[in-house]
Amino acid sequence: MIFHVDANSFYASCERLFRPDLANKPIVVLSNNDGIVIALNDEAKASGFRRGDAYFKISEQCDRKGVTVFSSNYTLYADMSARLVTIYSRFCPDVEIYSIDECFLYFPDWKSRDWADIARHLRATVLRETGMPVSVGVAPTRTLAKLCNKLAKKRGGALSWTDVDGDAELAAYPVGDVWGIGWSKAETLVRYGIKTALDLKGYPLELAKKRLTITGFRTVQELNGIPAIDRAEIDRRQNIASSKSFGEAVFDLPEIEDALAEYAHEAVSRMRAQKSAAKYVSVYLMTNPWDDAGPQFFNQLSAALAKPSSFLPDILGTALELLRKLYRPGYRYRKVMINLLGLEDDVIVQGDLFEEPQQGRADRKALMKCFDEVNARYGRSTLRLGIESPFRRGWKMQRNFLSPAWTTDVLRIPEVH
Amino acid sequence: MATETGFPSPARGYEATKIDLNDLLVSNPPATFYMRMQGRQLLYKGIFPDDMLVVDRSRPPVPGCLVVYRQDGEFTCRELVRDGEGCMLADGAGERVPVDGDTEIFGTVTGVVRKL
Repeated sequence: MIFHVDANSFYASCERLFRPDLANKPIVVLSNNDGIVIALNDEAKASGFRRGDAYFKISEQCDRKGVTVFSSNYTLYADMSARLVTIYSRFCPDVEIYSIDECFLYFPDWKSRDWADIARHLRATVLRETGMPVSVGVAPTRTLAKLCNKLAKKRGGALSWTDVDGDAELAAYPVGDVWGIGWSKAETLVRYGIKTALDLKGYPLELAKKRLTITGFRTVQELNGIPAIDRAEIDRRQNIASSKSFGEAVFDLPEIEDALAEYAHEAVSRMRAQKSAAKYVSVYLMTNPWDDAGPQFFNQLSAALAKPSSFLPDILGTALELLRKLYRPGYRYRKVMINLLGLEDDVIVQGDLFEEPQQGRADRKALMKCFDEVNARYGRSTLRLGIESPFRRGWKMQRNFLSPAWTTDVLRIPEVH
Repeated sequence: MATETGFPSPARGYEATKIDLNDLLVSNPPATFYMRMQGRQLLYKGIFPDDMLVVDRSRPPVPGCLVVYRQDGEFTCRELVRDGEGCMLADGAGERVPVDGDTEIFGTVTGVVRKL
């Protein structure tokens, strides 16, 4: 059986835990650079705020309605997330971390267990030990476990698929809300007459194979209780993008180069973690569409690498070349982004006539491995390429409402009276 | 896994370790939080201003324990004492707050750290 465990309004719950003065008060958490609302508690939802609200549009309303605003405090969230995972691991040795606030737990198929009881126990334990409310959905497949979790949120926080009338639930569940479907796919499905999750479950497999993507086909199997989504596969992204907005407008090429170097570093680390290599590199450079102070600029350039690479100097070199071609003086730049595309398995690729011998590739692999390991052990920016300057920080993120690292910095632990 | 060859080391089983205070102070890491005592209300318990409290949320509070709870929008630490059928939160000066359904307990104090 598969448990899907999801922390409710996770970022907002983390912030609330260490602020006893905010009990029953509305809280919103902003994205990187204080751009948009990415998490909010029930009280904030009741006050009319929504995920995705742009902060500059709602800031006055927040003041008026007494909403407490937080910048994203990833140090705190990562620590709380690790605590949750530690507790899940006590219930089940096979825990898959899907995101900072979602995990899948894979239980062996013991006969006639009271799954809902285990789920309720897990939920109560996490709440007592960490103060974090989580909801739990239990089902034979990941897709059903996720769906079950959505139902659980309205029914006491823990629900097992074995305790409900499955088809009745699926009949009341819009197909667009099924994991992996999304609204654009849902539109196509509605044209085939598939409106609910039950319609999709009953879709003949041979038709699904013909008309849907491989993901859609697997979703049909999963709704029928047949595990079809491979864990390793689902975690591999098809592309990896890294970008952040600058805290304030940036004019100069060297500052943008520094930022791009850091984002390239981050993207390559993520790509290497999933053992992929990229065929294409895209760089985007843009101004702020809401800034009236000057002319606007949005552009991107892409390049194909000579061969798929996961070697940071290859990718960064290409990215910087693209950036220098893109850059025009005189604009108030607000964002640079790198996207790695055409990802494939990072195996040693057949060399061509003009390439250095295989020996060189093995050395590069060893160098990057060492680079990754040092940064993993001593912090992400310990080793960096010469271009990544730690001193020029004009583009640093805006985090005006950052809470203390309550759980990880001994000088910032909460006060007791 | 290492394979053993020849004679076992005479130091086997006596490998040097360091004393780690976490072993002593923390029994359940994911449930353990640290807090800084500000007031003087717990002097009678030997807890001084600026002491660091080790708070374990998984330790059930029983009478005689020091517990951290929410009062007037602040984290407050008091002794849990029995009071007839129910419980009270008490300080050394004789002030007592009854525990009811609205009392939000954060955790139980399981240790105190003080640097001299």
